[in-house]
Amino acid sequence: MMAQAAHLIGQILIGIGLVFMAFGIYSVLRFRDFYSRVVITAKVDTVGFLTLIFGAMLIEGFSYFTLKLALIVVFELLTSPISTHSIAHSAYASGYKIRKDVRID
Amino acid sequence: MRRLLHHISMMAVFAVVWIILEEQFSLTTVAVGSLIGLLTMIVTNRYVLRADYESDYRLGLWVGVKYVVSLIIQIYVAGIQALIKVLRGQVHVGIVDVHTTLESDFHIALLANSITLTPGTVTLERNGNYLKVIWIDCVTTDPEVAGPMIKQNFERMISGGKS
Amino acid sequence: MSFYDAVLLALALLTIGGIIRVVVGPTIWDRLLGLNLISSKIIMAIIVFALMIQRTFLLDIAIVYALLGFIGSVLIARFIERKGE
Repeated sequence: MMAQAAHLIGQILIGIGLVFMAFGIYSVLRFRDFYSRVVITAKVDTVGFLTLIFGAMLIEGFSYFTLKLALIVVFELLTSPISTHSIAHSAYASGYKIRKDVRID
Repeated sequence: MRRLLHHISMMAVFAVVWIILEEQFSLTTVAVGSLIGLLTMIVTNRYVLRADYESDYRLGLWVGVKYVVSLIIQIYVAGIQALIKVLRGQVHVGIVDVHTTLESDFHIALLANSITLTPGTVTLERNGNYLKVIWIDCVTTDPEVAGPMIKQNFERMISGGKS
Repeated sequence: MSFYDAVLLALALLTIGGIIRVVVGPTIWDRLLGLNLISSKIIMAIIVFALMIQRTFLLDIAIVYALLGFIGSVLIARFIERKGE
């Protein structure tokens, strides 16, 4: 009974993570300016990533599988902002300016 | 003495990572993990870092755990706020300077990391005690006003581990 | 069609969105951003697949892929800074 409930909640969490990731992809396709893309997309994607991994942890229960997933979460928390930052910094150092008409098309 | 304790706790962290990767908990894995952790620490101390582990990575284990938990909560709150802003179309991207009172390089790096991780802000550049941040909803460019809105409670959280 | 099949299919569809950004992207940084998104989608697909067939060694592959993707994107971003000078 408990295991079934955990399965159901885990599957719901995976679904929510997919929705967050879909928003990330949607906003990377929708915005016209690079800076607004990088601000919104990369981190909405992280939220989706974390939600999906938590769902997988809940389905699996406590085992080495879950511990490895926790390791992946730690790596992701450490490395994902650095790669986003390096991309944004590369654009900034090369002289990319914010456009005044940051509107949505 | 403190130095020894610090080294032992770092070695324990490496050993736990090794056990997780090896997927079995026995005397051999603990021994091999500690040995590899010690080797890694010696090599990075000598060839990679400018100073050593003790002065560079000064963050207590308990503070680290508390920090990660509060970071995850903050990520979710800010993520949902960013989603609402995107759906309503209230996006005014701008660049602000943020002043920080943290001193050591490692703490400033952690602060910049967590600012980037919370949705809606991305760190661009650091010079001295100022961080350049892209902000999704740029209502003001004044560093005094914008600072607390961007940093939230990360600064207090990180410097709580200095002790 | 089980739940995991549906999740993998959705991840594949999302990857196509990232590929569109890589192909269209006006600047090179847009392409890099799309590449970053694609690599995170692939990691998630590996995790879901490992959950589906109940094997832990696939998670090692996910870790290695995450680290290599990180190093690759940082290196490319550093390299194209100020047009490669």
